Amino acid sequence: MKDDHQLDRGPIAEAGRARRILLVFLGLFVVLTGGDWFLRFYWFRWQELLWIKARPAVAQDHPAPVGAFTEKEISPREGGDLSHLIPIPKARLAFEETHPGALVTVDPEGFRTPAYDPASRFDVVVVGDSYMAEGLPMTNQFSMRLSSLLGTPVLNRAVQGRGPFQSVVRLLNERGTPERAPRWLIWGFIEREISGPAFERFVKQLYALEAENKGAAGHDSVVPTGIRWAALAPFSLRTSLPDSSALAQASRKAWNLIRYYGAGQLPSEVMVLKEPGQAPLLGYGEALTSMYWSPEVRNIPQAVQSVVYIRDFLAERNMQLVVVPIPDKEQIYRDLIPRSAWRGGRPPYPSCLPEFTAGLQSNGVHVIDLSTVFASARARGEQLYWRDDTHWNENGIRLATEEIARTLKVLRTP
Amino acid sequence: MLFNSYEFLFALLPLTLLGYYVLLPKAWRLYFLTLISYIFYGWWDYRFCGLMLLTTVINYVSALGVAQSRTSIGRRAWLWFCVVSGLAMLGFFKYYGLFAHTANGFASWIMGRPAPLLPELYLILPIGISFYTFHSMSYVIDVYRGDVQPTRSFINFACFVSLFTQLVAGPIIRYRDLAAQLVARTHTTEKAALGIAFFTLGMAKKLLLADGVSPMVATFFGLPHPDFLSAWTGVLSYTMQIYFDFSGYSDMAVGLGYLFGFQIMQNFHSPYKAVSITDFWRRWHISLSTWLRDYLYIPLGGNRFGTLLTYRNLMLTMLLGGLWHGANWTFVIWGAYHGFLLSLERMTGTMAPQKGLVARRIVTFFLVMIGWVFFRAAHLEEAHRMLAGLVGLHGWGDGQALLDMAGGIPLFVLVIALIISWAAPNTWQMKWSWSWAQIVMLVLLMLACVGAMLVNTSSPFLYFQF
Repeated sequence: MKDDHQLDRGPIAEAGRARRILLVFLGLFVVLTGGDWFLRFYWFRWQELLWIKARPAVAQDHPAPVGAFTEKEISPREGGDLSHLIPIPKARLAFEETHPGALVTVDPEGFRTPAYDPASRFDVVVVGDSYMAEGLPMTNQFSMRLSSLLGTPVLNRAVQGRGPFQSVVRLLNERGTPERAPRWLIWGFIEREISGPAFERFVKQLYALEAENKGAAGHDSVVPTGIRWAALAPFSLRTSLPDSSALAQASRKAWNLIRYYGAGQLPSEVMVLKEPGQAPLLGYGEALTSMYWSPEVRNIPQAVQSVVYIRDFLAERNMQLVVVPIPDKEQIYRDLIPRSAWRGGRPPYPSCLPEFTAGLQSNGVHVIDLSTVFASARARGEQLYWRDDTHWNENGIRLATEEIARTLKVLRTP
Repeated sequence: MLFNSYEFLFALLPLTLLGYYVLLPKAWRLYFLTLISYIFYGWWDYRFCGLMLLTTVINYVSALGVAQSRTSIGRRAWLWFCVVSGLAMLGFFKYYGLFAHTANGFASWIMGRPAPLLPELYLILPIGISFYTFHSMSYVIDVYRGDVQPTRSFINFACFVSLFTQLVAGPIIRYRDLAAQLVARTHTTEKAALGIAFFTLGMAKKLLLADGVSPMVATFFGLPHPDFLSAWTGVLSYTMQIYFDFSGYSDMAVGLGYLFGFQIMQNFHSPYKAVSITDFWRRWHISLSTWLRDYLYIPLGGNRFGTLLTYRNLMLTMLLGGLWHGANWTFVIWGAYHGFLLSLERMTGTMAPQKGLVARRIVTFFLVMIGWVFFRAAHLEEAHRMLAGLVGLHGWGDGQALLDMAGGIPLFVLVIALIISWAAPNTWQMKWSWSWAQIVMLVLLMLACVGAMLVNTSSPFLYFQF
């Protein structure tokens, strides 16, 4: 076999021109690498995972001054988070709904909630991800609806971001002491965030905190550190670096434009769920990805044990946990997932919520089963999620809060 | 860690180049490369760095033992120590599961009830173990044969075994090819430029072509009853995927080698242009086929002891070559299939035809494609399903349904891949004048590859819109 390799003919004649490509690529990589890392720290919120560490309780004679409650105008908007993933305006139109605006009150901690006495103690507090913070105007907000059904003030501490754990940590920091801890903690999170490994990582942090404070007098509290990224563990970095890359986001946008204008396809981040005779819904590609996690990967038993630990951790601090796993929109409408979206030619796994709920119930954890209620409502033709957004709409919030209120009324009865 | 990953391209590689060329003294370069190689390897699972280090120590000591032994028994003892320990580690991690499963299945069949003879352990397969085991064993065998002098420098040998450029996916390099380069190698602008070209083209082959057709492979091989059109599309797609994936990675390895002054062997030479199966094996995974020839086929006797023994040696070599690829009976069948075809060509004298080359090329391509069905199938039942589909036993299929399942873009990429594999020169045949046109092409390709890599490895950040 003849070796046609360039080097055998001698490199000298080409050395001068070869320098060109070195300089061009060096410049390209300095710009791409440097720019991406710069934007990562300057502009892009990297991780929502927080380190927590023990802080010995210190008696405070003079509570720190708190800021004022403010009013903020939320403008109405066309389209939700899913339709905004479609970079072509005319392609978005088929799915967009009008999301109402409202005047909202924001407390000194940054949460949307009616004004309250900062020194007061709330019997019921809502924590969790953005689903638990959803709802406009304020009367439609999850915590407000629950409050009106229960006839008691409910404090909103759900974070308008991703992930189930951040708001729990913040609450423990803010109201982890016996004088301020709520009696009932309503903890809601979306189904696609449920996995044994994710919950286990959070539990390890709580466990480390508890071990450090073992035997210490008084109660501990947790604080977030300034470090916003998890340990230098390959797995964590592997999952976070591409996600927090501005280059990656720009590449996705460019590729989505090419797909649309080249092949008439919507971005792979979304999928169309079309029910005959109904307006189409958008589903989230990442939710579909989580629906392909095998039972071994998802490891629901590990997730259940983690929640049991969290329940016990909170119970030691006189807080009763009520878990509200929220069904994925893509599971409720799984029969509408197009075959072209299937991965590897096979359908996604069934919902993990029945196993998760049953596991929690068998361990004595208070849990609200929304899957059955949502499936029945869907069968009646009710739309429970925004067409153009991953989040539930006022119908979904109404159903969920009614279920929670029904359960809480029983639990709160002496 | 993979070459086509964010962590490598935008973190480890820039840091390595910075450290190698700017920050560190030249005397520290091999130590630095070895450290980087262990970080690269350990990124996947740091626990298996110890296993690679153990392999390195065993083979380093064995080679010195072979060289210093005064008797042939002593030399042979060191050689057997090296070979047995290497094969034992490889056998345990890679093949114990298959062996236990097969033994238990056989025992259950005999007894007529479940009869677990051996515990079925669920072992993690250390990535690259097949490659670095063969790297290091070949060194000791070459020392035994007198083909190479053993090195006294542990760092030289450790760097050879762990060098990240070819650690996880080859090429399988021989120590003698790298020995002089470990001690003294040149770093020229042309080598670096070639490195960039090879790395970019390799990335393009992997990310744009191989990954472009991979959705079709997963879809069609996963069908319970693939029809004729689906089966052929799936097999064609896999034929392209495996070639561009593997040869692309090899090109990236060569490119990275050039960036650090190493010259690494060619591993693929347009295999789908082969005119016979014998010719195919001179073009496909050349480093493995030559390794098997030098360390298995020839020691077994090669073609020196008559026709029947030649066929036996061919079959054994190809069976073990198939098994090397993975612990599954489908790989063994693939190896046996190629062993049979090689023997048949030898028998009919068609190993190196001179006439009817176009027709022979088509027939060879077809035969290779059939072999890939076994290579790709997760189990024999899947292979059987695909083969049945290939002959139309599940119906002929529908063009529109195929388009719906495959998607327009992957089908388009498949056509491009076919044209390139049949008609275009391979990476090693390209002439580099470093004209602005070539530079612009490489820059655009690199940007496309970076974009493709980031799209495939990142998730859209729902709460971030810019």
